[in-house]
Amino acid sequence: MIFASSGLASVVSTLLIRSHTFSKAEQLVLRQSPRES
Amino acid sequence: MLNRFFEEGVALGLAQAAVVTVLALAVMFLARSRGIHLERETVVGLVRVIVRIVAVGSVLVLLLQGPTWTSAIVLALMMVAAAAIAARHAKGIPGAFGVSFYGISFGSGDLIALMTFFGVIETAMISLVPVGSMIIANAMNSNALALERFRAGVSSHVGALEAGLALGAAPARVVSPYVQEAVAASLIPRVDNLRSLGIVWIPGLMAGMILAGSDPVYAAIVSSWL
Repeated sequence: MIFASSGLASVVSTLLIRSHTFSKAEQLVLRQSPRES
Repeated sequence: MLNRFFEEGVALGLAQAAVVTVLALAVMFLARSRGIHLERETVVGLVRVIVRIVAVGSVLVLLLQGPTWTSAIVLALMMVAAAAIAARHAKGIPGAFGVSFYGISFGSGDLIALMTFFGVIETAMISLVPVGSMIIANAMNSNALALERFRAGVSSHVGALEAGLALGAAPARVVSPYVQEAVAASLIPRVDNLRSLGIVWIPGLMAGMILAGSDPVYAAIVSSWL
């Protein structure tokens, strides 16, 4: 049960976050922060 | 040894917590002697854990005596808190809280409702809330891992992604390898848990049931479906 719920949560959140990664003009919104570079 | 000095109950529990706290402080001082400063994190973490767990225990005593429908509210609040915690790992991702909430509530809420409907999880609050909290906590961990891995994958491959977009590929297509990678990485701890169950570790639920006097075989079966 834990495996199923974890898998569902991961799949749903990554599919939803995909739409937040790009702008309406299909440009990449998510970028490396200056701290990481 | 502590049993000799303390009667069973709260006093014994506090004495056991004190021994573990001393051990944690010893690790902190050992780290400090090596130039690693963990004082603030350790002390704040220990105080927070003690205060929170005692508060949760006290609230649970009241809640578990309430009507069954209140368990739905408790589980919903747990999902909101889980989404807020998971979203912290996804800094820089717009709408991380909403995405985490939908992911966790879909992943755990559907399963809890379905399993309660089929009678796998009992509807009594004393069963539904603890089992539901375990499912929500694991969904939260997987969600946080997936978002973190996805963010890391995308932010470290900006050039490749923009090249793909410039060549006319659809955004969903360009980003799909990082989606797959994130989901696979988020499930590594769960897969390892399944592999090592009974060999490397005994689930807390099973240990608790055995300590409470349940039949070990029944405890093992209950732990396996969870």
